[in-house]
Amino acid sequence: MFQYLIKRFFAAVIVILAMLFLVMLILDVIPGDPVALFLGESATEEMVQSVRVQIGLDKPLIIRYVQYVWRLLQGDMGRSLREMAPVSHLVWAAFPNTILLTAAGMALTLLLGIPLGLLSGARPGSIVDHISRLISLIGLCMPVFWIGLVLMFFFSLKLGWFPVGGTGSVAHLMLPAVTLASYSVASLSRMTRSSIMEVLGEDYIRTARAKGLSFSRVVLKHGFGNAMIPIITVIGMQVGHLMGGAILTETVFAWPGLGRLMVGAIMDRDYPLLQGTILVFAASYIFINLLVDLSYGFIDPRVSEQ
Amino acid sequence: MRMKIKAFVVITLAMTLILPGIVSAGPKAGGKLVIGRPSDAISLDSNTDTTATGAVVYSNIIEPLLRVDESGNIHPHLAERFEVVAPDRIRFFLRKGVKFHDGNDFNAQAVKATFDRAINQPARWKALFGPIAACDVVDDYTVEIATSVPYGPTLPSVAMCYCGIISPDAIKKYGDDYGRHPVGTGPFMFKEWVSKDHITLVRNDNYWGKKALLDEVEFKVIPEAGARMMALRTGDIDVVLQPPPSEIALFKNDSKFTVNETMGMRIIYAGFHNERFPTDDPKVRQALSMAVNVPAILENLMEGSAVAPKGYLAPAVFGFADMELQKRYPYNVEKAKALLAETGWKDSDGDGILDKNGKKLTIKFLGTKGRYPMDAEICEAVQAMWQEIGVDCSLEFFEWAATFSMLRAPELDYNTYVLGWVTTNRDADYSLYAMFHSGQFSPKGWNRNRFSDPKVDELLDKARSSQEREERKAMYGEVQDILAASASWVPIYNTKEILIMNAKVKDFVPDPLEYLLPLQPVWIDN
Repeated sequence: MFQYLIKRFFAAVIVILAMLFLVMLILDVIPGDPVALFLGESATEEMVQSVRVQIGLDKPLIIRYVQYVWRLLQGDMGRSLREMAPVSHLVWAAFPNTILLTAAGMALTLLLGIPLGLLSGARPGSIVDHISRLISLIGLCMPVFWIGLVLMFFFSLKLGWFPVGGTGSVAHLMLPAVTLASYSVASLSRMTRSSIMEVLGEDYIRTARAKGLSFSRVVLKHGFGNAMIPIITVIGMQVGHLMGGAILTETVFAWPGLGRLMVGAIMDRDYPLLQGTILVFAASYIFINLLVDLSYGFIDPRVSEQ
Repeated sequence: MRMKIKAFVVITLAMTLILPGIVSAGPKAGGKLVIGRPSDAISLDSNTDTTATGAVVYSNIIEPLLRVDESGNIHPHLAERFEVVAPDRIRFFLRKGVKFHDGNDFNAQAVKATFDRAINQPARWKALFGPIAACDVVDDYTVEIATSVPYGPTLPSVAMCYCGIISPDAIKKYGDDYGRHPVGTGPFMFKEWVSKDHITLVRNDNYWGKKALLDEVEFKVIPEAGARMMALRTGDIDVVLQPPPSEIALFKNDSKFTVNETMGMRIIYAGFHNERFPTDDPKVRQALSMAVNVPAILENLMEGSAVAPKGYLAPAVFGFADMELQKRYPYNVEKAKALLAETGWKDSDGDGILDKNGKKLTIKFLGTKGRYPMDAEICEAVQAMWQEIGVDCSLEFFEWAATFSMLRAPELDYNTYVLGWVTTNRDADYSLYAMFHSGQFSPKGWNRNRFSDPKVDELLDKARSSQEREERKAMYGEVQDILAASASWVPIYNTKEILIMNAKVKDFVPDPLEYLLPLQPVWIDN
């Protein structure tokens, strides 16, 4: 187990290093001068040059990469070009907001997606199944920002239940969380449905029913337990999806999270900030994946024996 | 008798209806105003954030020595008066008894500290100010501002919001972090800033001038346009900055909202490369100008959110002259075609594209996308209009950062580009010198048209070094006349500064300059 963790840790470090290099390479080759853009129309060529030297953009890519990684190891993510503040401050100020939103989205996904999937998977072809599949279809097809605006139109403008945007209370969290979860609820319920349907066709289910267990008990204990692995995999993937979806949701609902920071950084060609936000996104994704892989061992003891 | 009673009843009724109106009229103090806008400030330090996102906030916190009104006239503000000592040196006599928000006295040392800090910092500010070299203290309430060369626009430059005077104590106390704790003398004081969410200001009750009426002002960030307009309707916010053009008419017809507009200072234009074939020929440029249907663009794309430009400068700029472009180059496809035919452009091979001496009339057009309202749509419309007169026009779009780099590059690889320009200090020099003086070819300045005319150079140099306002005005008038004949630009629209607000918000009038947002007279009628 320990050996496995060490192996996974080094693999994660290599992925992050490669990812950082890729990001810096892409930023290097795309057209557009970040310094000229930042200094604006009125800046002179000398000013642009002096700032470029000041932030080290005059050096070759590989040197900049090594320097960036070296500073990163010391906990220094650099200084944002645009915001005049250390990247670490900006990222850590925004990250909790994104975690809160993602967690709320995840909670909704689990609370709605699994029961919906179980209900329709246990009784395929029933009215519940049709309704749940229709909801899933809507969730999968509608773009996140559009769902956000529609929810806002009904629940904020027409009914006045929730604020249009911003942070500060549970009411502020509701609409963004529902918007964010819409896709994940749909995809999780579909996964749960097909997974449970497959399991319910197995011989041991028939055995369990034959020995007199109630249908609901069979579905929940024998069926769901065995259908867990693919469901957990989807959940792990959905966390990544939720964090990605947060970029749009945060923009629509004026939620001050990491996604909005990243969009702004792309627009302004704010290299240090962009690298910082991508680093945090990527690291969280890798971490979640690790947790998912480890959880397989708990759910299915056969996995950890291998 | 009956008539009398009737009249009495009518009058009484009318009085009961009118009287409360009269009583409630007039500004009321109190209340909180929430302003929604698309993006947050980068910093509230006037040295580092010279864009509107920061300036509209801090221009209510810090104040310059002078102010410029809508007609370009200069008025004393934190300075009581000024005296031109020499063409490169102006003396300012400061107002006494003014205090900063932190309780410190406003005096000559504070003015010097503000200017010294800006001069010694490689900031955007410096490029805006031109050749300012020093600020010298004469006595406690007198300073002199000197430029390295005689500089005509010193006064309007000192009046820019970036030259607002900062408390020297705050500079010492906060250092690099000053941008998040601005301290000035203005009608509002900084209260708090939650990044990407809101900035709050409170009224300065010890303000030296006419005090503000609002208790608090909050600048709230709502990036998505649809969400911003919805927040205005729900009452989450009271005012919207930069509303999308398509929404304006909708709100104008709704009595629950007020739309206030002012003619802005930004001109969006299509510029021509004057040294690159075929736009090196003034006749070709004139023909292209006549082929652009500006009124149609204004009506169909801008939907009333912008006005027809009167020239290369906005009317609120000092030195503005009406270039009468609609008279000189009226939209007329036939005339445009005739002008091209006159200079030898004919469709000799019948492919629908004009040619001359075996060369096609090809215009390479660098489009702009996502920078100014409707910019990409305008580029596409102009392309279609040029194609109509037999021009082979290839339009290319890049993301703004890439476009900007190309525009700054020494050599522009296009015949045409689209850009917006604000005369930030409200003085013609700021735009005309940077964009039409032959010593300002890119990348040094912004003359990416590579426009070159010895007479224009001479006039611009002379006007730049003079402090005689009338004389300068006449020289700029002459420059604009030469420019109009050259057809170096097709000005497409002059911006409008537009605020949409809840009808209870009163006396909130936008300034022509997008960097200012006068909050002091605003009040809420509850």
